[in-house]
Amino acid sequence: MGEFFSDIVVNVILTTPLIGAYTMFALGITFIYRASKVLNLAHGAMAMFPAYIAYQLTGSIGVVLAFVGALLFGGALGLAVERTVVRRLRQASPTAQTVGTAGVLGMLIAVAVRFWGTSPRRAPSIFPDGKFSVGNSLVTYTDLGLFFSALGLAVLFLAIFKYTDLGLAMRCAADNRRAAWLMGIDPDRTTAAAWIFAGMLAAFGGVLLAASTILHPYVLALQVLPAFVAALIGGLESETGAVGGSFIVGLTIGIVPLFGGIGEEVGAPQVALGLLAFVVMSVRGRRFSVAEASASTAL
Amino acid sequence: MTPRARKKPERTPLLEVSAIDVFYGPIQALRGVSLALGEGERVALLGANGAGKTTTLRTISGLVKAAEGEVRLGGESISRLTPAQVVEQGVAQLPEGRELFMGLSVEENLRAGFWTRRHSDLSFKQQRDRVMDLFPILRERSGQQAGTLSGGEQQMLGVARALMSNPRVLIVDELSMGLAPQIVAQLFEILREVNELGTTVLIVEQFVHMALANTDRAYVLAKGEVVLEGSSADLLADPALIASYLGEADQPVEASANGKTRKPARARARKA
Repeated sequence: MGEFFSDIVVNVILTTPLIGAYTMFALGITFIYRASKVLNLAHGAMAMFPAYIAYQLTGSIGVVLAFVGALLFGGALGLAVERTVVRRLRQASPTAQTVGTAGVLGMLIAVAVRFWGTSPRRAPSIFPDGKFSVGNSLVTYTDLGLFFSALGLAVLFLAIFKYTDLGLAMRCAADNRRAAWLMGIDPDRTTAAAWIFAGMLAAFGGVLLAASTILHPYVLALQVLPAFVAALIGGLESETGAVGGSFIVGLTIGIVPLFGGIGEEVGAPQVALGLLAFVVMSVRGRRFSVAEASASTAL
Repeated sequence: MTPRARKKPERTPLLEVSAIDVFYGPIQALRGVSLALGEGERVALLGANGAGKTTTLRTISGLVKAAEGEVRLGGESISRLTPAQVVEQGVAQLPEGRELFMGLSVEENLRAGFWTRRHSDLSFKQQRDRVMDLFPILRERSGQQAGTLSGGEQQMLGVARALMSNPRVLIVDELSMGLAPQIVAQLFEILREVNELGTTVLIVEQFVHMALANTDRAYVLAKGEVVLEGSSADLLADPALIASYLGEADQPVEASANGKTRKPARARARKA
């Protein structure tokens, strides 16, 4: 029993970098959903592509500047997706917009494969190159950095929403676009801000997750899938919900396989995630479909 | 709501809508509509459903662009401005259906109303306190979500939010919508106070008698055109005239001044 308990502790610690990454991704997915009422299927690619940018730039300008460059690129990428795909499809149905983002996902992966190929690469980290052992596994400083910077960013963004003029404007525009116009708030600008923030968070998570795991066009892009479940647990419109959801998803992936006795097997995290997604959809699905219906009539 | 000297209507009106044509696709919604509001006036804009009242207001606010004609504030054209810029110039609107930020608190709705003034010399707290003096109930509810307020409180919040921008002109679309007559009377009383503090008021209203009783002048729209204008007192004294223009639509239940309700006799429609 003692061994089982320590297995759990070890797995929780090993899950922290994933929780951090999911938090950053789920927050971005939530920002975008609130602002544009679109589930951004391109989010994985918006995390993966800046990770390659950071990888590419590190050789010439050093890891820190490369990281900053990747963040800026991520913000610009978010804005570009909003301007070129989502905004143009605003008059179309939410489904059309969602399909548009799926198109972006495919395109970004194709471009990444074209430039960097499909062999996995080791990505540079902005955190010092150290590690310590937990049980018989290793936790790197990058893993911890990922977790704690995600928490810091989550707090930062929650504060921005609650206390700044920009945050107020973003919440107003998400709540009632037409009323925001009449108050003098430009919802197009708050929507752009939401996509820029989401793009930077995706880039942040993508660069660090690549350093913590591997840099690969498909693998990294698919790492965002659990964050969709996390955002869904949070109801898609709540930032605190997205953070909570990320912890639930991360811990489920880390712990549930142990109970099933499949902890060591390949695919165990995916099974756990699948079960969780199933449970969430049965519980939340109804509320979700109601929210979607009202969102589509409101615009 | 800084008190301003109340003036008689001058030669240059404060807000002037000058011969505007508005189209929705191929359909012409307004034909050469002209209105003029002198500083400090209270003006009603009346008309049956679909007559073009809300379109007129939306054009003033910059939400809809006129194909011909222009809207002027203090003699300067505001036709090409965005809705945000129109608010900045001093024209605030309480839209039909309130359009509050239902998921935000009362205080946050007021902050949103203050948006165009946030970098001005006006302090949010002072302005909020001034506005709250008109609506003591909102002060008690300031932390509450707007969506949880009663209908009357929501409409008060709508007026309060519009006043937060310290407008020169306050435009109110359907103050009475869905509200009990006593509440409507109370809201009109507040609008009178607001007007006395110097704000020019333009009211669109289904309750014709109540609108006329609470304004100085009125315009009547029918099928996208101004068909009648005059002093509210004169129009009120000649119900047959009003009925001939408004009779085609179903009249809502009218509220008389003492708060009782009565059904108006459905007026016969005559050709304008």
